[in-house]
Amino acid sequence: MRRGLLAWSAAELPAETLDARIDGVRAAARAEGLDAVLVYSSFARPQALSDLTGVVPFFFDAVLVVPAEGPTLLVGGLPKRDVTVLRPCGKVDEVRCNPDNLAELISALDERGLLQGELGLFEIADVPWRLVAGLQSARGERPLRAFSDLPVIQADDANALLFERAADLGRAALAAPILPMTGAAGVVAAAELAARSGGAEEVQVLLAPDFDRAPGLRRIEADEPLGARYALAVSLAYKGRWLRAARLIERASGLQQVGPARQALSKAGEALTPGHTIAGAVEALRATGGWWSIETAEGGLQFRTLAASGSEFADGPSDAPLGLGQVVVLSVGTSEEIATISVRVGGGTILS
Amino acid sequence: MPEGGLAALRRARVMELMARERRDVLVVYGNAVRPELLRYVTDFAVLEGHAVAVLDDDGLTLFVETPYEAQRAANETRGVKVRFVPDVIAAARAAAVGRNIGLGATVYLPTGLARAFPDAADLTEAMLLMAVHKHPLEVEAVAEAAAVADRGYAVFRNAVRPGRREYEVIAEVEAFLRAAGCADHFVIMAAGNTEVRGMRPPGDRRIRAGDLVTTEITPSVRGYYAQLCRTLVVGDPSPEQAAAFAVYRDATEAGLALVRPGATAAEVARAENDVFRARGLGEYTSSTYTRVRGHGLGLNVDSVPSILESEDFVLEAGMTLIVHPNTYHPETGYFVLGDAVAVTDSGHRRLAATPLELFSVPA
Repeated sequence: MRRGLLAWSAAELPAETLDARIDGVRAAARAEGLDAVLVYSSFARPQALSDLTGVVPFFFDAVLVVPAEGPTLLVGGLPKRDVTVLRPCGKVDEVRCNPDNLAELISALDERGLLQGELGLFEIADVPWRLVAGLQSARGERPLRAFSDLPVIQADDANALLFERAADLGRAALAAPILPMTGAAGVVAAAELAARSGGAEEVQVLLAPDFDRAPGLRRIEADEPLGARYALAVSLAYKGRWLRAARLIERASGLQQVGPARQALSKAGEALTPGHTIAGAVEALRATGGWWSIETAEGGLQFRTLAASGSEFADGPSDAPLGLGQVVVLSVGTSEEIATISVRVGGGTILS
Repeated sequence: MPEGGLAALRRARVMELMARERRDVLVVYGNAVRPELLRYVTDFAVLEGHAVAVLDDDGLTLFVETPYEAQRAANETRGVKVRFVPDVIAAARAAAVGRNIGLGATVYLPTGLARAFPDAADLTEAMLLMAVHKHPLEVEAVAEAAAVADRGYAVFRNAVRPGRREYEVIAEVEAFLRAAGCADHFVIMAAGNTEVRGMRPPGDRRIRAGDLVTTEITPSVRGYYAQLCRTLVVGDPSPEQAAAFAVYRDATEAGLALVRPGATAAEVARAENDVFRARGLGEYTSSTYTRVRGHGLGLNVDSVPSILESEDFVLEAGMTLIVHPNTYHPETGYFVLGDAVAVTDSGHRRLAATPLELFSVPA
């Protein structure tokens, strides 16, 4: 679940920005001959709903209905009383809550004359079968159509500011543990306190407490001593925008250790330019000989993998050109070093 | 602790279930919303995207959707082959195709996976019931989590003061829990008065004198969650707040008094709700104002059974649950109170040490 600040701020994510994003979905729906687009979301796949409405589904799942014409609707899988809780979390024309969100969704679609219409469902393979089968049954087994044309909205001004705020919180989290800590749990606690008290929506901290003995990152479920060097990684969000960063730290000095892997990351980051593919970055990261990944914020997940070592992409790494302002997360790990940076295409590194 | 710890113990139980159900292969799905069956089998708590485990004669393979999760899973599990694949559903289908398959999933089973295994036997219910009946070592993990919740609530009480924002309060609690070695936590809260109808993660509202501040603190230890529900007042409780608290205290005690082997979830819920009905507050026990009157605790925050008057689930020794008559009160706003318990052969063992009282902090 989300345990940090959850509050829609119209100053940071203006209603006009969200309206423009919804208008993009409506236009795509009309272009595909759809009467409405349905976007499923849970906190395990929060991004699309967050992008379109500002709502982060903190511990529930929800379906957003974007008709080609007419008001938007959000059906949350929460008790009915929680309409008052959910409504201020973002911008949606109508909010309904029902623990049986399928029944509520069917009822709402029927009331609007959309139940038997042409309905497109975003990322249909990832949506719970309970919802898909239930909807299809209510439609007399008329199938739902797959919809994939959500507008790419990373580069707008609102997102740029939210990413910058997330980067500020990431820097605070990474800097906080550089104190005379005695144990792994204390490092994680300090990083979380810095991020959450600054307003992070969520922060997940991984640690390799004794990097030279065991370089793998993991969650800490019991305190343990730190080695001479430890690796610290944070994945964190501010109002729906996720970034990652990792550092290798010398315990005695508290200083960041910089080696060939980080230099490779910098080189890979520089290779990410608008209108070009990630091929240059892939080449730079492959040369490290370690594990590596290239991710971006796109689609329903917080991070979508564009390329990674040891993976099995059916069509190979992404060959799509990068957009101006797109945020890309680069990670690399070797037996000597671990590092992650977040890069804004055409705008340089925003968190390292 | 058996060799391999709780993870090995659970995996052995799963293998027994597969043999009983005559399944050659088990496919188990999990995500961050409902991670418990996947954790039961793999000991991995997924944070991002889908994760699918395939268990068969060749061993246990875990498919995850991001490279970061793959790195973490490889470092957090034992005896599990971890693979990052961009399409975990296709990978699971390829790994388990053409076999006598059982499926453990929950209501979040993605459409792609359901379509990949149309003929699989659904073992979800059997797995959830298996998880409800806990080994004594699992009960002890819940008890340890309850002890952490007690300490966490003390941190919460100290953090609440006028002028602080809700998320600053929870940040202190989270830092305490991480320092205590607690990797995961479910927490919701609210602050205010009659306008408050429920709880949610923290917002940016500042705490004010006179606020009722509610919270459910739910830390996990080795993956097992325990919950503590308490309400405090910023300043001295008003007569209305004190009177309302008495209803919730009596309802909690009435529900807890019935927790023993052979009792049903319905009987526990009815005992709680009867206290409200006797005081003319029966309306507030309905689904308009409240969700459940308690629930199971385990590898998921909200496990089987739901404590509801419609739920005939029979309690047995080795189960862990919370009794919490949380609901709206028309004179004070949303109010919470509840304790975790373990069902024993002779009744129950209360796991919380925090007194059942209406706390107050300086205004």
